[in-house]
Amino acid sequence: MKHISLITFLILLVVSYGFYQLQYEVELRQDRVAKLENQIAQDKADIKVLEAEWALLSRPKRLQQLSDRFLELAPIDPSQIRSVDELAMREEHLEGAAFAPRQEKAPTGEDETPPALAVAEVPSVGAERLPLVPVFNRGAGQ
Amino acid sequence: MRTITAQDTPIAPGRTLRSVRSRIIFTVMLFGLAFAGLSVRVVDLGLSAEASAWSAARSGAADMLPARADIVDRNGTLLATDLKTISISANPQKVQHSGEAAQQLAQVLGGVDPAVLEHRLSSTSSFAWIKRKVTPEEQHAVNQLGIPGITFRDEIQRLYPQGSLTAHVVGYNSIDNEGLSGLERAFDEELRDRAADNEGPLRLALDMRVQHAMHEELGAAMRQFNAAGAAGIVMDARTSQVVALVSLPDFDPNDPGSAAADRQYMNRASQGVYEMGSTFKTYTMALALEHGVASMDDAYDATHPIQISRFTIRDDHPKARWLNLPEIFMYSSNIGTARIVADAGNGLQKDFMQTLGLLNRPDFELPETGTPMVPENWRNVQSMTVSYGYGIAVSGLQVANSIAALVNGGTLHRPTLLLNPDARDDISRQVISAETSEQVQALMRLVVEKGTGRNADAPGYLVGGKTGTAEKSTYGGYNRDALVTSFVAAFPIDDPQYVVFVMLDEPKGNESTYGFAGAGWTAAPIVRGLVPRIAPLLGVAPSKDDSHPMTRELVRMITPEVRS
Repeated sequence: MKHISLITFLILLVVSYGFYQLQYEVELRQDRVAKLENQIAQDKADIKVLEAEWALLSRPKRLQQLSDRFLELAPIDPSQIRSVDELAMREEHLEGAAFAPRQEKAPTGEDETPPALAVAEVPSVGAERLPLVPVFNRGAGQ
Repeated sequence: MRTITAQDTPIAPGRTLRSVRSRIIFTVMLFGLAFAGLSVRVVDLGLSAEASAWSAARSGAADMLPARADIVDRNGTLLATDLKTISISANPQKVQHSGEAAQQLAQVLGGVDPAVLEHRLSSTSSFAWIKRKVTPEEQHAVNQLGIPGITFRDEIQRLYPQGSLTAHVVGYNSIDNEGLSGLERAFDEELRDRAADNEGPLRLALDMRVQHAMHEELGAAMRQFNAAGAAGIVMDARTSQVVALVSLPDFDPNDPGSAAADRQYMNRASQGVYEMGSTFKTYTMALALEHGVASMDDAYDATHPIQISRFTIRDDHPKARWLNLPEIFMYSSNIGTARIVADAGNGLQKDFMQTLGLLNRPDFELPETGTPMVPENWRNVQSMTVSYGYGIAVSGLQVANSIAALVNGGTLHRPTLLLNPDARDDISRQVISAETSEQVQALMRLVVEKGTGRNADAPGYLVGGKTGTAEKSTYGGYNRDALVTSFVAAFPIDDPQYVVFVMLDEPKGNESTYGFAGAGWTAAPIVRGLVPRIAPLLGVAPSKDDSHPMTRELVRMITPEVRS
């Protein structure tokens, strides 16, 4: 009988402490949730401000003014636009030469070319060099 | 619940002890159950919706945002958004020295009249606005004054980052965020609902880059020819989605009160209706070819002006001979066009115009959509003038949309500003045959290659189009010096992807045009400047061909000696 009362009392103590802790924890978490929700709302508002600022700074009119001032870009001329089929240096034209190891020097002395040109040249063997066809005008490539 | 009563006492001690023990266990279990129920409830409370209601009550004004959904263009560029701002109000009953306070406030706040402010602050009410939507600097300055009774309120401000570029499409709101014009008004409720349901922005078919190019080219032409106004539309020829819509002069929707003149609010592209002049000859040609009234090699007598009732129909550049269909179109012969429509008959013409949607107010999102002015009686005279674009006034939007139908293979769509319009609203239908459409393409290319529209020829993009020069009607007649010049074009004309409409209101000729102010000199060059700028943006590849296949045949039909 004595034990039962004691046990009951102890259970009561433990349970009430447990409930108190639980309640406390819940309140803490609610606080945290509220803070996070506040933070999210604030961040969302900040993102909106940044997006608006980005839109303001990337207005086409402003970009054009900046481009006119700092860049030497002009509208693309139709002659600067070509389809892939029209490219001269495609794989089939090169007959695998593009993947052959590059030769530092041409095998024959008469075939030597100035270094500035050699950079842009197709790796070639002897006289079977492919001609370079200018595909893009200056400023193209976008 | 059972309790121990006197009745239970005369029982043997062993039994009593067992009985009492079982009762205690029973009671403990009962309490245990009750506590278990309570703990479940506590957990439930901790997790339930009450928690979020509680936190919502605690969080600040950021929750107000946004009241209206954003508006973006087809690439997601922001056109309209809600931002938090501060408004300053006062409780006049708590403001002690209203005169002094008004003076101080007026000093730090721009655009506030101290006298008006003092009147407001000395009222007996408990609320008065001091200034709405102030800058952070102004807020700080007012805060520094430390006047009692002044309060700051969070408010929402609509920002239009693109400024005047979208003034006539997006429109603007009242200070209380109610849509007053443009899409803001048309989608007032929808924008609120979208914001409330978190459905994301309203996505338009517009492309700001194209809109900017149009805005700039039109503005330059307007200045060059000292015009009173200008309008321009770029429309997807296959879907009638509006990619650009510009009306000049315009205003800054961020400060809608700033516009000095009412004409700045006028949307000349979709609201203003104008007698378009010769662009209407395209409809007459399509009518004749579609209904077998005439074929390409039929010729009409354009030797002399036509006298009909009190009108005389004459040509601007008279050839004074018989002209076949391509010639009538490329030289823009009023006489020839009038004779064609006389053959077609007024009933057929009116039906055709109706089919193309030229006689009714178009079903378009903008509240600023004009109703065309059509002849009350559609007799022979009216029929003849309508054939070359007089006596009927329509909006640029209607011209662009109907021309799109004529060149895209013959399907008329509903014009729209939305990227994903409601499919139920689609009214697309075949209005002319694909064969006729190809003939119209060829005729429009002929105008640009050999006719009045040569100044519109943008190399590489195969522009086809038609000029339209109309004298403005004044009281009792037409004013030769007040013109409306327009050019409607499609590119690439052998497979039209976009239709471009440009219009200038009262352009004046200058030295560069030898004094001419006609559409070929003023409106057509806008297209030549615009198309090479927008085609790469719109993904239109340059044409390999330098002409429309059928145009080559038409060129052979032109009488050689007048070929220039």
